Amino acid sequence: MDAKVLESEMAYFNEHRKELLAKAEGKFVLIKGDKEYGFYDDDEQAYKAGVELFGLQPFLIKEVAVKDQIHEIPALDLGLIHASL
Amino acid sequence: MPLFEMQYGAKTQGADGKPQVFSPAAVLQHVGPLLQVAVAVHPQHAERLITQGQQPPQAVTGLALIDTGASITAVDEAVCRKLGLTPTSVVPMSHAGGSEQRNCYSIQILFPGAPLPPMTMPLAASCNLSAGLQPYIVLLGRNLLARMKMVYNDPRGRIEIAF
Repeated sequence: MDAKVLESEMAYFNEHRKELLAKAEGKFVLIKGDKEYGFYDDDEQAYKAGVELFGLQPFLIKEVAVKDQIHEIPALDLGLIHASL
Repeated sequence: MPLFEMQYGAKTQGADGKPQVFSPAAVLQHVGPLLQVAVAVHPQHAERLITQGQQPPQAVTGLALIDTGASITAVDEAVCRKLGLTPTSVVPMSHAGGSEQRNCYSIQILFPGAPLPPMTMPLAASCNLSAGLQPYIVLLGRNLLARMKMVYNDPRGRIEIAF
């Protein structure tokens, strides 16, 4: 669903990860297009800022980390709950 | 911390037409820790819609399963579509064959019939629960459980949540 919506923002994040880490490791960055719009202590603050700046247009919130945490839902992975990711 | 106890139990009709009553412990063991939920747009999103002269979409109601094995709270994609949400992030999710990127959405989870406060979740991962004909629309993962204390009390057939 909407797989390409945040493509350019994700590309920007991945290309600039090192710079972002140097600036604000552990914070949440707000990105729209190929520009960052601040760092926030949590995703809630980043979301509020995003809506204030861009309304209901898509924008990206990412935690600035060396590597993205790979999330897991074992009940889905193992087929204990029959659904697809 | 306020404490909320969710007591389970079930009464159905058996094949012989006689009422069948299941013990709370048996019901909790069989269905797992379920809660009634309503998934709505994030309050910030709703506020923005109202300032644009639009009504926020009606919340989608259904069941949520408390899933302590899930590192992230997940919401059914069909619910996100109904609410007209756009993604707020992309996260890698593991699966049997490796991992794949999944969209996240900003939602608010309400608990009708329970005294739990509404909880906002700017980065809820999407998954395809309805495609698997699941009765759930949300899996409440550890990033949401981090906000509460939960006791799974099967001998009493209830869960106890302090928040």
